[in-house]
Amino acid sequence: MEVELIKHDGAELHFILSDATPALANTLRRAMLEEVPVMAIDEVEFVRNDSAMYDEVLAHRLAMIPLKTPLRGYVFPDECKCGTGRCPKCSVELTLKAEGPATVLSGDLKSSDEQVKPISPSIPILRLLDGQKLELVAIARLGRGKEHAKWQTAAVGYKYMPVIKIDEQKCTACGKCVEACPRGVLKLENKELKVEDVLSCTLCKACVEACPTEAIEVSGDPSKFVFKVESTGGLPPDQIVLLAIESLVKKFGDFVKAVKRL
Amino acid sequence: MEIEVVKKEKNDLTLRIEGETHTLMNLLCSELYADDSVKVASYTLEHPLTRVVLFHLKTAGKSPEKALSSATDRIVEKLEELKKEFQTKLKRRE
Repeated sequence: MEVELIKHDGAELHFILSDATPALANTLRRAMLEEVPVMAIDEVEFVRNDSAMYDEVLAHRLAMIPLKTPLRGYVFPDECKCGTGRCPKCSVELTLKAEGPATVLSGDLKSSDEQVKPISPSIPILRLLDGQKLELVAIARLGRGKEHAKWQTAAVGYKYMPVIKIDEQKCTACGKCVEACPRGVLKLENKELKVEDVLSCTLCKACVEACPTEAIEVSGDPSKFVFKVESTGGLPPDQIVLLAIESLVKKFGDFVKAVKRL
Repeated sequence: MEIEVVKKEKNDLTLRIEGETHTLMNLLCSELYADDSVKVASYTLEHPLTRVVLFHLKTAGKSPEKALSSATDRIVEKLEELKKEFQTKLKRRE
């Protein structure tokens, strides 16, 4: 199994995974989405809400704000010795106090832990009119994507590695395939057809259809996966991948133990 | 994860597992089929809205428990290899 990093900047990580099975690729993708723990607002205590937005609607919006998550320091509320889900080891308090006229932004949330705060201060939450007051306490906890989408750490997808074969005997360099390609994958250079950017190919086969001599063949390699991981900002994408693999190792270990106990 | 034995005959095992999804099951079945002594390794969701899996394993020449533990060993080995490969490649970037 081999990994080749293609892009790694900010919240985006693109890599090629070779010599793997589709099952492994999919399990890795699913683990990144549903198993990796991240912080999100899980409970909101309202002190005062004069706005036009109902409490539960506002609470939902607060829950969907991605929060930066430290790699260590917190436990899951159901694993915490406190039993209440409200202690500093398993929860973070974010308070919001605002008065209209104003647009309440994510930056207005004050956190009890500097490391757990919205990934951006400029996410609009709601609009308060003149004289309307808002006061609430939001409790953020660790959770997994499998329980609620707010705890999904990233947008992850993969495709098979595109394999483009050009039969030089049949190719007349007419350029119809270059025109047909919606991604600019092919190009004509000195009356020779070349693949400019194979990673941009989406396997749509518009080029194959456009070719009058059947000179081009496009297929996907089911042992090579081009992954694109875009983090929501809570965790860095490289950590998401590593945490996903660790969660899988634990999951399979727990499974075997449970089966042995039968 | 709650597991309940639905059927356990000679080399025929059916388990009802709560709390698991395709994330575990698909990879498990895929790896089980790499074992020649596994005749049937399949799973379905009892209901699409629940996280309850029905897992069927039928072996010939090896006990289902043995096939399961060796399949998961191979999976964990592959995962550890993948983790090391990632860590190496990420370090190189720095």
